Amino acid sequence: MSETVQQVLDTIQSFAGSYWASLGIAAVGGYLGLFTILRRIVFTGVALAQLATAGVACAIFVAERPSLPLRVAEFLHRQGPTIGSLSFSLLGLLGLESKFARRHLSSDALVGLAYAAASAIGILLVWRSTVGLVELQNILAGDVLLSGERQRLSLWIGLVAVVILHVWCRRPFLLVSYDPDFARAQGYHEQKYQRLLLGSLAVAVALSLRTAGLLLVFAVLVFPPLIGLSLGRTLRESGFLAVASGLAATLGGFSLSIVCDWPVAPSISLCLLVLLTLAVLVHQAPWLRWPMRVLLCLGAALSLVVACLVFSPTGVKEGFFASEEGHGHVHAELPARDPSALDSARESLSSLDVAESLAAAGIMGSEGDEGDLVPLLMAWGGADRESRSAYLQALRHLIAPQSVRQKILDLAGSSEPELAPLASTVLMELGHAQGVSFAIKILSKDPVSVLPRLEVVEALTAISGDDFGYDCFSSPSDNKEAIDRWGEWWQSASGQLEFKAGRGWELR
Amino acid sequence: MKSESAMELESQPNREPLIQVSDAHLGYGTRIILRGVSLDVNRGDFLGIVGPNGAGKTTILRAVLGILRPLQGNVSCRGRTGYAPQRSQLDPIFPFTVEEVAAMGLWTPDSADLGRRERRQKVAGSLERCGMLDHARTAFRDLSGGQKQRVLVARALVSDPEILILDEPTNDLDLRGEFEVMELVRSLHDSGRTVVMVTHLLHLVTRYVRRLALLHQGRLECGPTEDMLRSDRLEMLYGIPVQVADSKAGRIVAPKMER
Repeated sequence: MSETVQQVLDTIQSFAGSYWASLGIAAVGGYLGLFTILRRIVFTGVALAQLATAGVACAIFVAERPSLPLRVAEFLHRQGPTIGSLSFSLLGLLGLESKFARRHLSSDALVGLAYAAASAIGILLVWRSTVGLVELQNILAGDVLLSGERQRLSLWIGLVAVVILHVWCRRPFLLVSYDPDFARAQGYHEQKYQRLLLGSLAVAVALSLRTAGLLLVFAVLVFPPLIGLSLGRTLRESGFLAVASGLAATLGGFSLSIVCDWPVAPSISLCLLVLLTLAVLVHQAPWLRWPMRVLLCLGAALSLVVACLVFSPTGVKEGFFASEEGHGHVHAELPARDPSALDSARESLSSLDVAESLAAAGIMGSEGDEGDLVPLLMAWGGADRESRSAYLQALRHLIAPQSVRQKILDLAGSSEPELAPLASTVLMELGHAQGVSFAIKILSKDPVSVLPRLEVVEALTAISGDDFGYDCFSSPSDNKEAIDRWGEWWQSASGQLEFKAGRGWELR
Repeated sequence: MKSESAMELESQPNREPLIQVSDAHLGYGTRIILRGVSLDVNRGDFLGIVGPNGAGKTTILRAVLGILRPLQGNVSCRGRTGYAPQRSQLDPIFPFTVEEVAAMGLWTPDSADLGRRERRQKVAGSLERCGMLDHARTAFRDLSGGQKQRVLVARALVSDPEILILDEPTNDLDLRGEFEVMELVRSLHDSGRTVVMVTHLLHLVTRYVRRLALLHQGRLECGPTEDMLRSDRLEMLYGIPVQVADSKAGRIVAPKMER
C-alpha cells in the first residue's frame, strides 16, 4: 500500500507541471462550467472547444508549408497552436454573438453550425500531415503529460487572467446571466459583460484544450458544476463544491492513471463520473449530503497537499512515455527524474536504464533543438524494437520545426555512412516520402556498412512489399539490378502511396 | 371639458414630473413600435399602462429605465428607479436564495462603497417590508408565484427608490397572490413612492391605479383611470365589445356577451 502511494507520489513528482496544470484547469473549468450549465450554453462551450481545435489544426497546417521563411515557420510551430486556438475560439464567439447571425439563425443552429464547420475544417487541415495527425490524436485523447513549459506558462497566464476577471466582475457576470434586463436597469452595460463572460470562457477553453485535450476540457466544464449543483444549496456552495470535486478528481485520476496505466484525461473523467453518480444518489438522501461534502473537501485538500509536496521552484520538466498506441499514459515504472530537465536529459540519453533513456528522449523531443537530432537518431538506431516507437515519437516531435526537419533531410542526403541510413529510415518510418528516395540512393553508395544497410532495406521492403533480390552482404555493384528495380518501383508508386498514422504506408 | 377626477389629480401638491417622455419614437433597430408618444409621470402618481399584447407596454418601461434609447424624441427620468421584471424571465435553475435575489438590487456599478453590514441591513429591511424576511434563506425557486413576486418587489425596493416600476407583477398569480402583491404595492404607494405598473388585468387597474395610459397601434393616451376606463375606449383598444359597470367593489370591465 505504502509502496503504491510512494509510486504515485514519485510519478506525480515527475509530472508536477502537468499535475498543477490539471488542477488549474479543473478548478477554473469547474467554476466556469457553472455558468455554462446555468445559462444552458453547454453546447456553446463544446463549439468553442471545437473551434479551438480547428485553430490548432490551422496553425499546424500553415506551419508545415515549405514556402514559409524559416523563422516564421519556427515561430508558428512553437506559438501557432496557442495563437490559433485562441483566435479561432474568440473569432467564433464574435460570430456566434453577432447581430447578423442571430437575426438569421437560432442560437442552437448557430452553435451546431460552428461545431460542424470547425470539426470539418480541423480534420481536413490535419488529415494529410503526419505531425498534424499525432497532434489531433493528442488533442482528442488529452496530452496533459506531453505539455511543454511554454504551453503551461500560457495556460497559467490565461487562467490567472480569467480568475482575476471573474473576481472583479462576479456580480455583473451573475446578474447578466440571471436577469439581463434587471442588469441593464441597474446600470450595467449588459452586452459588454456578456461578451467578457463568454470571452473568458473562450480563452479558458482554448488554452486548456491546447494543454489538456478536448476530453478533459469537456469533462471539467460539465461534471464538476453538476456535482456542485447536486450537493450545494446556494450558488456559492455549488461553486465551491464544483471546484472541490474538480481538484479531488484530478488527484484521483492521476492516481488511477499511474496504478492502472491508463491515460490521464479519461481517468480524471471517470473519477468525475463516479463523483457525479454519488452526488446524484446523495441528492435523493439529503442526510448523506454533509458526509459527501466533507469527503469532497478532504479530497480537494489532499490534492492541494500533494501539489505542494511535488512543487519545485525550479519547475519540473517532463517528457513523455507515450507509445504509438497510447498517448498520455503515466507509466508506473517511471523513475523520479532530476528536475533540471533538458541538460540532464541529454546526459541521461545514453543511460543503460531504458526507462531513464526513454524519459530523456521524451524531454529532448519536446524541449530540445537541432543539436539533439544526432544523439536521438543514434539512440533510435541502437534501441530494441519495443523501445523504438518511443524514440520515434521523440524524433517526430523534434523534427516538427522546419529547421530541424531540414537538418534530418540534409543528413539523409549526406554521405555520412552511419547517419544517412538512420536518417532516411527514420524519415520513412515517420511518413516522409523523401526518405524513400534517399534510402534508394544510399543503397547504391559504397561506404555504407551492412547493419545500417539492413535497416534501410527492411524499411524499404516494408513499403514496397518486395526486396527485388537485394543482398545486403554484396557490394552495390552486385546489387545494381535490385537498386534499379527499386528506383523504377518508386517512380511509378510514389504518387500512389500515402502514410497513415498507426497504419504505415498504404496505397491510396 | 375636464372630468372631476382629472381636476382632483391636477389639484394635488407635489406635481413635480419624475418621468417625462416627449414625442418619442420607440422601437428596436428599424422597427418602430411607439410613434411620437408623450407622457409625464409626477411624484406620487400610480400609473397603470394597459394595452393589447405587442402594443409596446414593456417597450415604454424599458425606455424609462434607460435600457432602450428612443429612436427620436426624449425620455428622461429624474430620481432613483426600482424595477421588478416579469417573473417568467428568471430561470429557476439558478440556486439563489431569497436573500441573494434581494441583494441584487444593491448591485450597481457604483455600489462598491456599501459595507457588508449595511448591505445586509438594507436587504433585511426590504424583505421585512415585503413580508419575506422569514424566507430569507429559502431557495428562491422553491417559493410560490406570489412570494416570488414579493421578493422581486423587495429587490426593487432595496436601494430605496423613489419610483417603482413593475412589469406585469400579478401575471399567473392566484387570487390570494394577486391580492397580497397589489396590497403591498398600494402600501408602497401610500408611503410616498411613485408607481408605474404594466398590467393586463383591468380589475386591478380599477382598484389601485390612479392614472391610466392606454397603448394602441403605436399611440399612447393617458388620463385619470375613471376617464380612461370607458367602454368606447376599451372597445377600440381590444377590438371587441366591452361592458363597463360600476359596483360597490369598484368598476367592473368585461367583454360584452351576446345572448
